[in-house]
Amino acid sequence: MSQVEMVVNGRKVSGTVEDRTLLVHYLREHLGMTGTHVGCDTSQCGACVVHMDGKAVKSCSILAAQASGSDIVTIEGLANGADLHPVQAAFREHHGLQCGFCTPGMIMAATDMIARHPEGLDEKTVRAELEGNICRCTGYHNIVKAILAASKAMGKAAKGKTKKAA
Amino acid sequence: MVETAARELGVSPAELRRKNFIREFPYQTPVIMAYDAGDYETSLEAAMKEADYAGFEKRREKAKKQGKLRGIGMSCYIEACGIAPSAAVGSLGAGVGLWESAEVRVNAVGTIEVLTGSHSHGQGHETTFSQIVADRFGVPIDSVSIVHGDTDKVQMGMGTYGSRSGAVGMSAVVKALDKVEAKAKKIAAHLMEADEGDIVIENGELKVAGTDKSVPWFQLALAAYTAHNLPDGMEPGLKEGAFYDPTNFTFPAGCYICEVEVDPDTGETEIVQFVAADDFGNIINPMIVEGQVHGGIAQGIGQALLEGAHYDPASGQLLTASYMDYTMPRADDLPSFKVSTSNTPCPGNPLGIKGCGEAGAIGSPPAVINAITNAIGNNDLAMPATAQKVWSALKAATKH
Ligand code: FES
Ligand code: FES
Repeated sequence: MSQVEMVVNGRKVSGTVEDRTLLVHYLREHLGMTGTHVGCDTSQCGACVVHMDGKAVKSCSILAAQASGSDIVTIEGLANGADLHPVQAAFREHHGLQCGFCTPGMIMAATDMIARHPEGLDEKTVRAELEGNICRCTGYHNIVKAILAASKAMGKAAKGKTKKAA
Repeated sequence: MVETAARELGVSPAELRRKNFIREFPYQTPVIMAYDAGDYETSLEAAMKEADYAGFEKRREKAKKQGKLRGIGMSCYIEACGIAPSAAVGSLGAGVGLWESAEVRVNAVGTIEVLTGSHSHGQGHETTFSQIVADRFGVPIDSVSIVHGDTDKVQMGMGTYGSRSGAVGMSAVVKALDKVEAKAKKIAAHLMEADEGDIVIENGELKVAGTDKSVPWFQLALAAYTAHNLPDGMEPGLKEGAFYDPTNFTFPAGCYICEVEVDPDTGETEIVQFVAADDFGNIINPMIVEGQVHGGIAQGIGQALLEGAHYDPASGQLLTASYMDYTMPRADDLPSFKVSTSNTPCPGNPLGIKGCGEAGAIGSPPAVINAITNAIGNNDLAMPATAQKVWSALKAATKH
C-alpha cells in the first residue's frame, strides 16, 4: 500500500491506496471525481487527460503514487463557479461535443495546447497535437474549430491584460 | 460499381449517375422500398460545385509535379431510414413493431416535460425535441425538459438507430402535441367564451384571433389542473400520450466527393478535400445535423482507410481488440469537411424529416475508395485501404 497526498483542484487530499492504483482510478474511485473518463487505460484515447503540475498527462498512465506531492487539475476544476473556462465555452458554442465521453480529455488537452502556443494555433498544429485524443462522434471538425476559437479568444484576453498592466 | 462502369464505358462518373437518377415519385423499387420524394441532381450539382470538380485535372497535374498521385471519387447514396412501418418489418420477419412513443406532460405552472422512447446518447434530443415543443407553444426552451432512457418513467420505446429519432420519435411527440394543443384550445375557448376554431397560440399565449382577448400559457395550464372552470365533462389535467407508426421508410440521399493524394513511394493516402451534399428533408437544428454528418464521415473514412478487425487464423483470437491494434481515425487523419444540405420535405411524416444519423458513414467509404482507385489506376482495392494495400495495388497496376 502507498500513502499519497496531492492537491486536486486546489483542495488537499490524501489517502492510502494499493501500489498499482492509477491516478485516474484514484480520482474516480477514491475521490469520486468522475469527470475524468477512462476510454482505454492503454494510453491511446486521451479521455483521461488531466493537468499535473501544469502539464497535460494521461492519468491512466501514471500511478497515484507517482502523482503524490503534485498539483492536479481535472475538468471539474476548470470552470470558475458558474463561469465556464474559455475552452469549455468554445466547445459549447461550436458544438464540439456529442456524447461527451472524449470531452474532458479533449478540453484538458486543448487548454494545455493553447498554453504551449501563446503565439496562436493553426488547424494543422491542432490536428497534429490532438493525435493522442480519440473522438468517435464529432469527426473532430467542431473540436478543431472550438480549439482554434478558444485560442484566439484567450490570446485576445491575454493581450488585453498585458496592455492594462502596462 | 457505378464508378467502375463509368471508367470502363469512358463516360464521366457524374454523367452516368445523372442519367440514371430517378425523377418520378413515388417510385416502387423491386424490393420492399417505395421512394417517396427526392431531388438527387441538386445534391450532385452542389457537391460538384463545392469540390470544384471541373478544376480537378489542373490539380492533378500540379500534384503530379510534386510527385503525388491525385484522385477524385464520388458516391451518390440513398438509404432507407426512419425505421419503420411495423407491418413492413413484420413481413420481413421482425419480431417487434418499430413505432415510437411519446408523452407530453404540461405541469400546472406551464413547464413541459416530454417523455420519449428515443434515447439520446449525443444526438442532441434535449435540444431538438425541446425546440419543436417551444416553437409550438411559444414558451421558453428552458421550460421544456426531455426525459429519455429511464424505464421507470418512459413506458415504451423502440430506441435510437436507423436515423429514426427525428422521423419517428419526433413524429410521436408531434402527435402528442396535437392532442395537448387541441385540449388547451378547448379550455381557452371556454375561459374566454369564444369559438374553439378562433383560438390561436402565439408567443406563449392563447388568443382569440382578431380580438385582444388572451390567456397566458401558464395560466391555461393552471386552469387545467385547478379544474374550477372546465368545459362540461372534460377531465382535469393537460397530459397526452401518443404512439406513431410510420407509414413508410424515409429516404435521405446525397452526393459525396472525396479527393486524395497518394504517395507512390509509400502508398500513404492523404484526404485533401471532402465534400458532402445531403438532402435530409426538413431540418430542425442545422448545427446538430452537421455534427452528425461530420461524425459519420469520419467513421466512413476510418472504415475506408484504417479500421480493420483481424483474427488469428489458427486460434480465432481477435488480434485487434484494443486501440493499440485497432486504428481509430485521429484528427490528423482527416481534413475539415465541407458539408451542405438541401431540403426536399419528406411527405411521410408530419415534420417532413428524413433523418441524418448514418448518411456520413454511408456516403463516405465509396467516395474515398473511388478517389484512391482513380489516383492509382487500379479498381481492385479492398477496405481498409492501408498504405500497404494501396502500394501493392499501385504496383500491380503499373506492371500491366
Ligand atoms: S484512458 Fe487514458 S488514454 Fe485512454
Ligand atoms: S463526443 Fe463522443 S467521443 Fe467525442
